Amino acid sequence: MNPHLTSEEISDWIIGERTPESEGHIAECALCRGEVDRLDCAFRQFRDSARRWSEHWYTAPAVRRPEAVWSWRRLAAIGGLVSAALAIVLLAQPSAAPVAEEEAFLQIPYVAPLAPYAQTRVMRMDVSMTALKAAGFEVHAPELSGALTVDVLVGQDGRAHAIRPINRSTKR
Amino acid sequence: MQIAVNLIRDAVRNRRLQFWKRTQRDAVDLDEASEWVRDRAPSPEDRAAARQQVASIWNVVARLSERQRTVFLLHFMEGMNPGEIEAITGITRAAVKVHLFRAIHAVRERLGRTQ
Repeated sequence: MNPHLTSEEISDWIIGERTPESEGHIAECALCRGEVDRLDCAFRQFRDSARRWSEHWYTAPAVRRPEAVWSWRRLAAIGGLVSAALAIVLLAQPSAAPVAEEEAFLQIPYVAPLAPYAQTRVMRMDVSMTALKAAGFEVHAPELSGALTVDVLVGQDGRAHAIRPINRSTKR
Repeated sequence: MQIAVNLIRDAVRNRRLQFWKRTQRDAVDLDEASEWVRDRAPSPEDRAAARQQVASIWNVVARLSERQRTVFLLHFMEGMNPGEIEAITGITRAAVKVHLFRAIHAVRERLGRTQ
C-alpha cells in the first residue's frame, strides 16, 4: 500500500474532490499536506494574478493596432463570418472612415475563445447583417440587407474570434 | 464544434468567462501576465518565487492542448467544478477529470515535486 497520496488522489484533492480517506491521510501526513498546500497556493496565486492582469487589460484603453492589408486568402480563412455575401458588399461599398470612439469586442458565438497568450490582429471591414446572423449574433434590424463596419479580431490561427462594431448604422 | 457552441452560448449567458472576454483586446505577454502576483509575500525573494511559480504555470498552460487548456482555465480561473465544466463544454465529467489530472501533473513536474 502506498504510504502517501497518489498523483490521482492529489489531483482530486486540488480540484476539490476529497474523500474521507484522503482527508484522513492529509490530516496525518505532513509531507502530503505540504504538497497539496504548496499546489493550492501556486494555483491560488495563478488565479489571483491572472484575474488582476485581465482586469487591467479590461479597464485599460484599447490600443489601436495598424490596419491590416486586405487579403482574400485571409478572408477565406475567416470562414463563416466573411461569406460570399460580404464579398459582394465589400466590392460594392468602400470601407467607412474609422471613428474615434471604440466599443468592447463581442465574442463570435460559434468560435472557441482565444487563449490568454494568443497573438491577435485587428482588421476593419464591412460585414453584412446576414453574415453576422450566420455567425450566431442576434441581429435586430428591420432589414438584413445592410452591412456594419466592424473591427474583426483575428487570432494567429487565422480565424475571427470577436468583432467590434464601428458604425451601427446600416449601409445600403 | 458543438463544444465551442455550447461553451460560448452558455458562457455568454452566465458571464462566467469574463477572463477570456477580457483578454481579447490585445496580444498577451506571458512574462507580463506573471507580473501581477499580489505583493503579499514578506520578502522580495518570496515575491520573486511567487512570480516564478505563476510563470511556470502559464508555461504549462501554453503547452496544453486546446481542450485541456479550456478545462484547466474553466476550473482554475472560473472556479467551475468538473460537473459544471461538463454541462458547459459537453466534455464528460470523467474526461474533464483526466484533463485536469494531466494539467496538474504537468504543473507538479514543472514546479518540482516534494513527494
